Amino acid sequence: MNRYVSLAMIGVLMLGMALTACTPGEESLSGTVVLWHAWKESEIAGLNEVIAAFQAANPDVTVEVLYTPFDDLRNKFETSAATGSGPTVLIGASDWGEPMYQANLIVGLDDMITDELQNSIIESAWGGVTAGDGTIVGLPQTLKGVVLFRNTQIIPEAATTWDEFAAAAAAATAGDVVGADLEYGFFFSAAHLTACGGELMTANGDPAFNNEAGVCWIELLQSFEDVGPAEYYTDNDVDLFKAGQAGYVIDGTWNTSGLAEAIGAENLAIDLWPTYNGSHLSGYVQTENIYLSVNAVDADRDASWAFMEFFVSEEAQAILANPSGAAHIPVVSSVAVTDPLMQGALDAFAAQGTPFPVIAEMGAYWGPMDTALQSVFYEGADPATALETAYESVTAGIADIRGE
Amino acid sequence: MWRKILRLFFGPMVDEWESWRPAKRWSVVLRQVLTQLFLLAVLLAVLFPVLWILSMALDPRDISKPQDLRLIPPGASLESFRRVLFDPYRLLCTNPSDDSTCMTFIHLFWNSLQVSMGTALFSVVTGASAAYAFSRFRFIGRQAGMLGFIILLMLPAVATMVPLFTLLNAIKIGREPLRTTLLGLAIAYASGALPFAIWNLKGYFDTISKDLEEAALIDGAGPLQAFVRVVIPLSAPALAITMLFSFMTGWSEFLMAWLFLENPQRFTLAMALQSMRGQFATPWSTFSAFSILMSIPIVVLFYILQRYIVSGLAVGGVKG
Repeated sequence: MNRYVSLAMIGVLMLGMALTACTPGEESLSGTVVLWHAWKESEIAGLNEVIAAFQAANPDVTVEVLYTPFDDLRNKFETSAATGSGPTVLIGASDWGEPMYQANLIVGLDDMITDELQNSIIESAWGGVTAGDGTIVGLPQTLKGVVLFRNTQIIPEAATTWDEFAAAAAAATAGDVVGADLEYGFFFSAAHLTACGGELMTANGDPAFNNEAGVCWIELLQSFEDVGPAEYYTDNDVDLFKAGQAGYVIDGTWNTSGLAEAIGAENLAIDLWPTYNGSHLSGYVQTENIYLSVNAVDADRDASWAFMEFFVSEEAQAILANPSGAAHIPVVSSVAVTDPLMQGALDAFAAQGTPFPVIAEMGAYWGPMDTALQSVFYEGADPATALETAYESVTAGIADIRGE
Repeated sequence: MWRKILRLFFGPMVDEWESWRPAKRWSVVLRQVLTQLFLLAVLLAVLFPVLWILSMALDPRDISKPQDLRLIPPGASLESFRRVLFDPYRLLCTNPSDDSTCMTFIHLFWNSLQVSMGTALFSVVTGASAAYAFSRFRFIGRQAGMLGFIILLMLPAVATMVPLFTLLNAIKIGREPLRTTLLGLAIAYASGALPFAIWNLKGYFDTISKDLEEAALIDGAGPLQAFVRVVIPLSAPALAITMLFSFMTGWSEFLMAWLFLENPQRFTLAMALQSMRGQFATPWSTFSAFSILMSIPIVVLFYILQRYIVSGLAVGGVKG
């Protein structure tokens, strides 16, 4: 009798286990995620932690990671993906998304994004993954952008207006120390057009800078030279700041940890941009994205998509936001930010940031705008004339891009 | 005493000095001073970047450029050299969470050596055979072939990257494409180095008298023996320069390597150096120390081959 009872119990247990395994929605993932990225060494520990957490939840999924320098990553991915190989998942810049999607190298994700996922990510971050035709071509995984850094040892209080800013910088300039060493290269300065009520381009990419606001913008940039040395894509400002010899610099949030390490995190602040003529200066806000390759198929594709979803989950974003680790500014609104520098950047992005245009037309702006700015700064060209010349070049470039 | 010092700068002309008219004396002095100043400026232009890199390598602050022109920066140390030589490269790991799977300088060095030696040997062996044929035999397509090599020489290296990628991707060793192996990389480099090798060696072979080979043939040697035992030993300068240039291609190239290779265990020194150049920040001290250490084998090879190199460079272009 006991033997029958035991056999019956074993049978029930086995049936239960089999049914559990067959429950819809509980199917365990398998396959391989191949991830290519260009993260720095200081970010790798955070990435490893995220991968470990993902694999703990999905033990049958293998994750292979390959670092490639940023300058080589896009070319390597595009060449590999075009020949049917390469990674299943790519972490890359926001402006790579549209061209790679148009070239059929990455997958459009519209059908895969649930309302829950859509709502969990900060609304403004979606702009960095939306192609010109409205297709979502990736998932934003961190925010970054151009901000105003201040050494609190040199300038203790944040300025709220441009006049206060200039006065504080002048007061702090003495000996080897300069109050401000401001960068006015096009990438770092284009968003300041908002200070003059202008904009670089319209929503569809047509130039919108060739007007009074544009001239006001260039005059504002010229006035950078009145408050201290100004830099055009050099590292002089950063070097000076790291040496504790500059009060203000304009730079990207990607350099926050380097600056904090150099002068001490307690001496570093990220300020809101000062107001100017009733508006305010600004910096470009970008996202770094995670893309799904068209070569990810079957189980690998499911595993890769699950990995991407996990990457923008609250758990993974909290890991990546660790200020002593990857120090990524999270895109998920529910992640609590405790680091004051990260919070400063988030405040500047939310209140005054300008979304970086990720449309193809942006490619027509770089050369002409750099030429225009440098002709004014270094050759004394008239701002209005320089902008007019840039406008013509940009318009021609856009026509080329659109195949007109 | 003064005569000895002057002889250092002006050579034997000092002895004729007293017989010259004053105007000629000043003209000679002025010419020498200007020449010396020019050479000093050239020397500075050549040495200054080297000193700058050395200064950055010794600088513990990791700044992009020294703030002043001190060769020994404040707090100078050899820490960056230690880091380069002994620390694992945590960006170049098979499993990033396990340091033991990360590349070390020695491992990178070994990979670079394999690729560079492979490129150099392949270029010299194949290039010498082809160049000998172009130099000694008359066959259909000879002129067109040499012209084809010139066109290949003119092409920027980037232009051949994608075709080579596609070609080597199609050839499999086991389940792995040849592209992702060090052998594939060496073949790709050699394909770029071969046009120069063939032109350089053909020019040199043209200068060697055919009588020497004919004498060897009369003595009973076969054509291959005449080539290997007579022509090759006489071509040491041209072979040395071809080998050095091919070796340097394999040693310092990183664009193609980053495009082709996918397994960190096969990465090279040049790739590791490129990986230090961050999108936004670069550890300049480590970068500079790495550059200095990486250049040592090239300097050593140059030193070993130097007695051949000058004559090799000069003679290769004598005849087309």
